[in-house]
Amino acid sequence: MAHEKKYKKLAIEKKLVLKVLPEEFILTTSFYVEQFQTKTQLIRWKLPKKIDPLNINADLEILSDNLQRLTKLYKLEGSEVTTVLANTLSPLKVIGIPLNLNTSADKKEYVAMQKQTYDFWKEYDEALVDVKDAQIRANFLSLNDNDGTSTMLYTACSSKIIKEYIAMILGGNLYPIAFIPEDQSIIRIIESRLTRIERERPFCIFHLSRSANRLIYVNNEVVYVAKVDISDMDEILFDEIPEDDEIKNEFWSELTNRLSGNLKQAFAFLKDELKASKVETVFFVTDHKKENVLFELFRKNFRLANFRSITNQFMFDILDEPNNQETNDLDHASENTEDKVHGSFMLPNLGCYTMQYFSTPSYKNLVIETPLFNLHPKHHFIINNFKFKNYVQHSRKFLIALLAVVLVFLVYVNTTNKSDMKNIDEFAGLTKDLESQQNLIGLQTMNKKQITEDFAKLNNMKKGNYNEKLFNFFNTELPTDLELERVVVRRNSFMLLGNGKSVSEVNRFYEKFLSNPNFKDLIFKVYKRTDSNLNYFEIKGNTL
Amino acid sequence: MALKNYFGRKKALSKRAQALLEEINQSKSVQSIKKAGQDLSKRAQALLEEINQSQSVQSIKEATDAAANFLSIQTEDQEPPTIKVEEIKPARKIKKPVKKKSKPLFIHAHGFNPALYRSLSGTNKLYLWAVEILAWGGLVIFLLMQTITAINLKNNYASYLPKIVATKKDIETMKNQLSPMTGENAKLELKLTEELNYFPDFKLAQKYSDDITRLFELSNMVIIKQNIKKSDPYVKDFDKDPPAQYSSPQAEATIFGSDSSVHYNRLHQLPHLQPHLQPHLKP
Repeated sequence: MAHEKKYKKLAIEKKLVLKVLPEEFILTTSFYVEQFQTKTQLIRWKLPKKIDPLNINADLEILSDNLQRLTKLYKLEGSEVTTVLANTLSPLKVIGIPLNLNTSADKKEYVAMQKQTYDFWKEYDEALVDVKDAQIRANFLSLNDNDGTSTMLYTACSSKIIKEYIAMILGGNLYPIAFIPEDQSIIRIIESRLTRIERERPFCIFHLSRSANRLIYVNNEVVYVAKVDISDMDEILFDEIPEDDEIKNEFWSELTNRLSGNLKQAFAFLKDELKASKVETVFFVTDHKKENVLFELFRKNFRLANFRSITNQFMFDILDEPNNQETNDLDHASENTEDKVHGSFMLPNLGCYTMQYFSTPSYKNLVIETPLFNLHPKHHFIINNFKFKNYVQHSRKFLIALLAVVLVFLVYVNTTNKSDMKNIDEFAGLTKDLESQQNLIGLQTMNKKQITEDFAKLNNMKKGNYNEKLFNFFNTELPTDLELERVVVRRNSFMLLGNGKSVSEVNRFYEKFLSNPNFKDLIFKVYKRTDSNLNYFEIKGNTL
Repeated sequence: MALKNYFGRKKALSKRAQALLEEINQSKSVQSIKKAGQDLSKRAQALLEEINQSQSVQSIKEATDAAANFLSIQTEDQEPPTIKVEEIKPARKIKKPVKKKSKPLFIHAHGFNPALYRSLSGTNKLYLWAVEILAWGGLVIFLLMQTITAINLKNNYASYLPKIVATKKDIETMKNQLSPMTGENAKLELKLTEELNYFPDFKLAQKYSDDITRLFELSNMVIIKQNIKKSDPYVKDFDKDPPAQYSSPQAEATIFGSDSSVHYNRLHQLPHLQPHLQPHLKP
């Protein structure tokens, strides 16, 4: 587990990549050792017989069985696998289509046509005629201003072959989630290791692979693939090439000349027929075991461009079989040394990862920036489904655990709250009691106030504060010429109605009222009646 | 000189022969022969053990022992018939294999499940998962909020305890305040009642007024323009209320003597009459 944690930190992208060669499975997984430095763990699984990667259906049982044994032995059952499809299965091409994909109208039309991808591309890719249905992927590279056509980076693979590969991988107890064209993968891994200036210039990759020897030309807008015709007989001899001076004899010299001649022919085809611009470097990649011998052979005899290998930039470990741990130290050391030289066979596997670059070129390389073509029929979602499966599972587990904890806590809090609710009930009862007590106190205070008021009234009545003053006043102050007709007293208000012979007497009586401080709010009216010559008056007021 | 050359050649030849001998010894074929011999000796030893332990040999041994006992012949000292195999020691020490741990793959697999592949390659699960996670998250948040509310409530309940104590104290204080207030009010009410008893009620005052009116009538005196307003006037009904039985007093014995000011003053001094019920009289 500790090693897994350590690697987890280093692995940005966890991926298991499978490549099926005629004689073996190559299964790799890579992780970062440090910045720009990867290390690849590699399993080479020899097959009991030579199979045809173009037609695995014939040997599906053997392949599935071997893959199953491999996964069981290395405890890889249930891992997601990205498969590198050989160039012969899904060749990378550049195809021009009569649509201007820079305009939205044509883009819409293209998108609409992609609903029937096979029918659309059948017109432009002759190879599709031979297959009933195919998985097709394409990406816009550039626009040809002369004829308004769009150049597309394109690859296709027969759906039948993809299904066979899926069946084989599922039979091996692995999950197939991606099928990547080998050429795109190789181009990406080689380009990722170039300097800025090298990236801005076209380059070639010579892939020496059984029955698929080819020269891949890459610039920022186009990819050309030229076949390098090497006869089957010569290919068989690759494994027999001597490593010592024997190679200088006549037989091997002839072979060397033939091979370099084939390569030169392909190089000339690129230059003359396809009008490819000058290439300074050719990178060498091969599946053959004697990579160092073959590399030296071509490097010495091919002088049209620099002949380079980038395998020394990658570190890798070939894993022993877990059950076969008893090995001689010396033997193992020698194997490792040897393998460090022969490592380009696993480069297509490394190209399936997301790349980190040493430099930033001055302009875009549209070929490199094209996303990896995944030829899996469910490529739209299968990777994301597998990628987020674990996150979702972990999130679900975490949320359920959290939910359980919260639920338990909630139940506990609610249970304890029920007992605590007695406090509230008690408090409510006490509050009611308090209110009733307050009301009682208020009532008593009111009573007291009322009684006090009553006492005051009684005292006033005793003292005759209200009307005694009035009666005393008009008993003493009423002029002789005036006659009171009516006296109305209501509590401290009063009204006097009367008459007199002269208004002056009435006024004088009123002035006496005004001058008396015991009266207030006085209203005075004087009027005459038709039936009498007397002056009638009305005085209203309040007694203090 | 010739001899010297002869011995020199001989020496060189012997060296060459020794080198060749060593080469032969170390050659693969000789090594394989040695290894085969070693393997054979091991195999022979294993076979011998197998033979010794086989049932037939055991039964022969038992039979021999029985026969020897019968014939009283000591057989213990005699060596059992075994096959002697000369042990061949290896000519050269072989390096012992060293145990080396294989490096594990850093990919950790969880086991293959075909149903899982069928499920994940069927439809895009991201939307479904997003909804599911949101639902779970929502449920968790909802319950979390409920829990927080419950915790707050719990804290709130706890905060009621001091409130309850304070309220109880308040109630006690109020009760203490109320009892003297009630007593005081009762005393005041009693006092008020007592005070009120000093004041006649309205009917009684009206009765006095009627009596006075009657006294005026009996003494042939007329009150001019008298109008006493009251809210609920009591109208004397002579049919129902029988006239008061007044004996006709002597003129000098009554309050209504010839001096009118005297009976006004007497009337004014009546203690039970409320001031507003007093008739308005001109002095």
